[in-house]
Amino acid sequence: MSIKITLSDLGFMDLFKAFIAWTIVLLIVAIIINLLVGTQYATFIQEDPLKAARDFAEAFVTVVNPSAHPSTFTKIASRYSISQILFFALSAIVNSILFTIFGLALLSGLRLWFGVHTIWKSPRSILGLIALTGASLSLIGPVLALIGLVLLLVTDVTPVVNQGMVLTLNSPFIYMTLPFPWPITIGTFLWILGIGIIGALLLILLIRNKDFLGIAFMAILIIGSVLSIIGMLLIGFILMLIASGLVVLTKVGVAV
Amino acid sequence: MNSRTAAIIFLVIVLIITWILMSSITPLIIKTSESKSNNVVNIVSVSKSQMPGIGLGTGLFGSGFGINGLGTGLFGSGFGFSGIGFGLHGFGKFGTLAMLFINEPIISPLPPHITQPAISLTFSNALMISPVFSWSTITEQPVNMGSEGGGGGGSGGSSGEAANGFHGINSMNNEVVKTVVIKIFLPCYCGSL
Repeated sequence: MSIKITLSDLGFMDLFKAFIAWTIVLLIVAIIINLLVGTQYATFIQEDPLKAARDFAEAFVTVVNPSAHPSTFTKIASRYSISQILFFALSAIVNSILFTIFGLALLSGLRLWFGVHTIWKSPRSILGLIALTGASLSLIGPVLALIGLVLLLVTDVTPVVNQGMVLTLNSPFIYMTLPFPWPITIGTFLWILGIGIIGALLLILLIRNKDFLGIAFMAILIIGSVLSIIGMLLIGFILMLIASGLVVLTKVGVAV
Repeated sequence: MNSRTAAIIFLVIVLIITWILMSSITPLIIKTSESKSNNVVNIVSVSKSQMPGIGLGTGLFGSGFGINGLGTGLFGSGFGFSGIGFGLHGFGKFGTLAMLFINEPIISPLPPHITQPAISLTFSNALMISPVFSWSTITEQPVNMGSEGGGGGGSGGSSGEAANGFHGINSMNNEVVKTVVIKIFLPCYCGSL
């Protein structure tokens, strides 16, 4: 006896919402980098990548939690000539954006975990175990990121940066790496990795069912997650957004 | 697939995941505040790809041991494989947190102009690769004067001179160390012990 479960019931609806939020945030970051950050910043970063990365890390910590870093706070506020209340408002906006995207990631990871658990129950195979491992990874990642964010909020964090920042504006493509705290970075990485593992398992199930549309969508999802892992975060998220949206719209399902 | 093959595949997957996690976890360091000795004590080094050794200790010389590091530290000399020691310096003092910041690539269709290529692959700042190959990406010399292969022994000495056990450098751990300005975060009870 086989029941068909659509993938949107499996948790891809929440994944789609999370991808929408992440893609919008990454696009906003790209636009800000394009329009606001001028070439003098790019040359400054190219001259001393390590100092630039450390300055960015200090600024990130200060923006997330201004009250714990008063000296950097006053320095940034006086340099860009914004009032302190406006700085606190910007900090609240940034914090709410961070909590929103990682909360959506956590919600999608939770729904995917329960959905994969329903798949895993009917045939207890090694594939189901792999899928459950992937779902657990995609659940652990946002939890780790949220813990890191809360740590930034409640304690006085000193950033330790040992790798330089890269930012290039003159090329046809922008290349940019920003130093973030390791729970956020590794958490994002684990989340995307878990989604890739689940996509690989669902690809196997869809190949068994000979659902070629679903195979194509799942291949796009896997390619997006791999691109995100090896560095092309924006393009990978756009691909994953397209794949999950098509999966939700076309009601692709697997028979378990 | 029989159960033996399934078990072997499961073990391989668990090993791979454990390796990835172990190579990417970086310790959070809790630092002691207000040590009276020289600047060397105030330097924290964070070792990527190594687990923290939590130093516990007591006494005047603050001998302590960690999970994978041993050390005795009036001046924080230690030995062991790796590890980071901290001493609580009595009760009630709590330092700042030092957290490693890892580069996250936002937009990188092609990395066009990297001045110093980290590894000769197209993805040079990948999240997974950078902790693993951290010994090959760092060019700057560390600034602390730790002993070779030193682990961190914590010192929870009761005297005021008891120093942090700081983390030495082993041969694989040539990375940049940042001097941390110590801030008191929680109220202290100096001299209560």
